[in-house]
Amino acid sequence: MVSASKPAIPANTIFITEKAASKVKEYAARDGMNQFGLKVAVKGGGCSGLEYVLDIVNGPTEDDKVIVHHELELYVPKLSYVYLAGTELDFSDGLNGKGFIFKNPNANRTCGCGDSFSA
Amino acid sequence: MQASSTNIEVGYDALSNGVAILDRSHMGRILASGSDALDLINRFSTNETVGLSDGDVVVTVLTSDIGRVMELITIARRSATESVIMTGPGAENSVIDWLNRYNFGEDCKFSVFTEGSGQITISGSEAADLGIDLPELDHVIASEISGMSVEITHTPGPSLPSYEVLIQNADQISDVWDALVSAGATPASEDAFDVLRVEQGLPARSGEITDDTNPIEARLESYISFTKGCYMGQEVIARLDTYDKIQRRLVGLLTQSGSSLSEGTPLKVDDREIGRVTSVVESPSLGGTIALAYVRKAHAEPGMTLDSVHGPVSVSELPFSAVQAFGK
Repeated sequence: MVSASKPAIPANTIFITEKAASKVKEYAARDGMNQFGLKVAVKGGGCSGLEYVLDIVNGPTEDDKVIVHHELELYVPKLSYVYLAGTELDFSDGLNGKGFIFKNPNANRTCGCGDSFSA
Repeated sequence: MQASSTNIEVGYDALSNGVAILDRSHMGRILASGSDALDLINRFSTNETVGLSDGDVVVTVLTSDIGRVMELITIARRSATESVIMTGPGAENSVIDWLNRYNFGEDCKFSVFTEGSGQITISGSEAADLGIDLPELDHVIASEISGMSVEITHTPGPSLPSYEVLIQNADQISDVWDALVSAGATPASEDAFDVLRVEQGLPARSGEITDDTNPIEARLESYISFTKGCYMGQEVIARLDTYDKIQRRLVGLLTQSGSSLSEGTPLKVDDREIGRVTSVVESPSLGGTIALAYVRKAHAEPGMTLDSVHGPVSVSELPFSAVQAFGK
């Protein structure tokens, strides 16, 4: 049997799945935003010391690295990028869904809820 | 450092029945500025430091990712963008380094102002008789002592009223000190304050609070919010609390007459070590030697007898009670 393994995420970028990108676009449309992108960052906090920050914003700041996937711009502050490089952002829906999920190869410990990590 | 009486009983008597002072200028002091400073601390410590009002004081424990004590700090909020943080001696820079490590461009800045400033502790049941403006519990106020501007915090801790006088200009420490003595305060030694601390069962950085300690076993629960949500180490602390998983507990010890118990003395049951002594004092009011120790939870019940090389000791409730202690 041949296993169809998923291609690895390049370590020098951040990837968003089509499902997650679609969800972001849906939220932006609901808020009436025409020009927007997704801020993806980390800040100090959570059970493990670092927590993820997601925000739909109008555009990047000078400090942001801009990455485009599935026709969605991701804005990643340079300080945060160090902790996020190689991350895949997915979305889990349904009654027991977890919402946006980070699969971060830099995380060496993740808290129970998955929103916080240490690196 | 202002001189205090080396006679423990004089200082102890002032603490118990009057008002005593102690120069604690060697303690650490940090100025926290910026609108995000208390929010950042809230994400890295056990107590709630957001939602405070100007003039509020809160004690909180900075914890590691495995829920161990990094530092016990007291925060006095001056305004929405400025607070004073009091730390243990020499801990200022490690606290700042720890917080800055997790600051990703937030609006907060921390700077040490220990050097060039001073701190005097006022404690005792008659503190109000000094004739100076004193704050309510858990508050800080700007006050004056003999015309010199100071800030005074009323911090939780011993059951006796306890205040920290923050003096912005170190040149005025001796003048503030002299004014307090003139007003009736008795200079007491660190040892006298320590007797009261042990009687009250309060952990100290010198013996009970180390980076190997979690806040629950050190009886720091009153500085933990179990409802505030996530902070670093919270999962571990919540689990310890919910499932009563602590391995050891800080307890009081009553000794036999003439015991030479000392810090570090191993405590045993059936020849197996189950704990160690952390603080030992002679208590004038209890009339004997009392101690604090960490012992395994199964042996931490009041009334249990433990062995030591200096003879048997019995586990006491904390804080100690004069009636139960030596049968008075």
